[in-house]
Amino acid sequence: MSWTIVARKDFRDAVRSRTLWALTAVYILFMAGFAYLFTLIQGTGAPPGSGQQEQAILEAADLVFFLLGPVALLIPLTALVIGYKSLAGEVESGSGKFLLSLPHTRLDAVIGKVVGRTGVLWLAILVGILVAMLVIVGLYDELAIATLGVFTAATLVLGAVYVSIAVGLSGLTNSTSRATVYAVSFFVVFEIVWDFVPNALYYVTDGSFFPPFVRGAPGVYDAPSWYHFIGKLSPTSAYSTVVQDFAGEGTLSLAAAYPEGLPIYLTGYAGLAILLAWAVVPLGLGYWHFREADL
Amino acid sequence: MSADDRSPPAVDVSGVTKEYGDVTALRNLDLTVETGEIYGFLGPNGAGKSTTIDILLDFVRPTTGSATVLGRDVRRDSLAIRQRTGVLPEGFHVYDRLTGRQHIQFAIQSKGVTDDPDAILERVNIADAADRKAGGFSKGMKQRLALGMALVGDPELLILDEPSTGLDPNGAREMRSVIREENERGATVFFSSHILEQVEAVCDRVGILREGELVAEDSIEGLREAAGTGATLRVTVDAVTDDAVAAVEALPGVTDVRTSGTTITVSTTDSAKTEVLDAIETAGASVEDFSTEETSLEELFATYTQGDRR
Repeated sequence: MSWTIVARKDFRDAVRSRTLWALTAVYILFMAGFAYLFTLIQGTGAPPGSGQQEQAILEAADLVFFLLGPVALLIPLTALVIGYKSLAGEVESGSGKFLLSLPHTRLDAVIGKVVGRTGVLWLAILVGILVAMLVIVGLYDELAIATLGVFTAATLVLGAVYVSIAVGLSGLTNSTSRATVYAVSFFVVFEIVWDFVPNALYYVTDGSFFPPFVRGAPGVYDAPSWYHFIGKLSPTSAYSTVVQDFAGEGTLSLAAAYPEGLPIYLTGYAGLAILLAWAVVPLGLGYWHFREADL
Repeated sequence: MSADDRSPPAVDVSGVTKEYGDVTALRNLDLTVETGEIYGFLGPNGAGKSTTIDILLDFVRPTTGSATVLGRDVRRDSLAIRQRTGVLPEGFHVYDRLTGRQHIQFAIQSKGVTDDPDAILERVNIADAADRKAGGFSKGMKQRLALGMALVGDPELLILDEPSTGLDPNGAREMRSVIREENERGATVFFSSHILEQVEAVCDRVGILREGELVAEDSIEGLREAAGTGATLRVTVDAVTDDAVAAVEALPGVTDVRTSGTTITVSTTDSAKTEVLDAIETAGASVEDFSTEETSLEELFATYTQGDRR
């Protein structure tokens, strides 16, 4: 259980740095800021003078779906920044010689880093959401505690998954500059490029980039199942699937394309499984390299 | 602690070679440190001292060969070894934002012992900096802090890599007295240095490493004896000839021959100066002047580590 000591040391180190406070400030501004912003834009779509603007009901559940996209950007960015130097930095600077001259295995070091830094990110996320809750309680008409709960839990899970990815990438190299390249590449590939991968494959098989919409459900593509599945493979789309499935009305918009019911691999459960894989595989590869590395 | 004949050596390196790509850091190294002794691991920078220590701690893995520490295999039982060993690593970096006391506490928690952090900080003379962040420590203070971490848990073996780095002469003296105290407590001490005088003052035995190979291993007394009986002979001749050099090199007891201008410098294990002079004259050179001096321990070290190998 010596990873708990490493985790505590890591967390303590972060508490004393400006990282944690800067991070917490970012999340407060972000979560509470969006909660407030949402009160301003909600209902502005209604025709002016119709009286509906004042009557628009502010629902926290709507806020959650409004937040999904931005959160799916902020979590990867902050988690990668927190974690990308965690192992490579210790090796490069020589503080790893302290850590590993004490009785810790390299696995203890890896797990300790993931847990310690996840703790840092979770604290920032939780404080951010707590302040957002104050805004919601003060200004919103409906609280939707269950939806907020699912959103909070899923966001924490995504944070832990991304910290684990970052630590895994960090374990793949002994140099922080290469660790930076890995983190940036991961973000570009899985958070930016990935959105286009299903379309590129669709183009190869079908000759056009975009599938037609499902009749009567604009925005939902009538495409082969693999098209939908590949789109859900990145960590943040798996996260969105989870939140939409478990925090929504119980149905995904994608259900419109499957009158006989959604296949399991397109549901929130599949999203959870994909997140779990992301938590384990990159970290496993990073550990495997770190275990064999000369320090 | 008296060394039991059957107890395993504290450190036992056998046939270890370590290659980094094309560079061979260690060449078939054999090294034994007996339980209870203070062993000085000497050699110039880059000789492979840190690589050897890194192998003992499983920081790097030997290309071939194996090693045990406290009777346990360094690769299989590294955790058990590090539990019973105190380490002052070389080229370490403190956790900038943790205080002096937090560093010691980290070591205490990691080893699962109940030492008093303040007593340890007192012992390495940085008690007044206990609550300051280590990032602001001077080089010498960081070195003391690292020594303090190594002392946590009264380890059976202390591995100290260049412990005097960054210490002023006073600090180096304190370091030596801590080493002696730890040894009297029963700890085996294995420490490396590139400076002979730091080793000479405390060590029972010395190994000299050069270009990845152990070129000498002896007690300080043994080395001193070798140094005391050896001598350096400086002969000025009219012209240095290959014949003369070859003739001197062929003499028994001659360990090193170097030439510079019209001077031939000869290291001998005994003061066979007439034989040397005779050999030069016989080879056809004419001796114009000569002087002899006893070899000091420093010169012996220099011969081992700098001279051309023969």
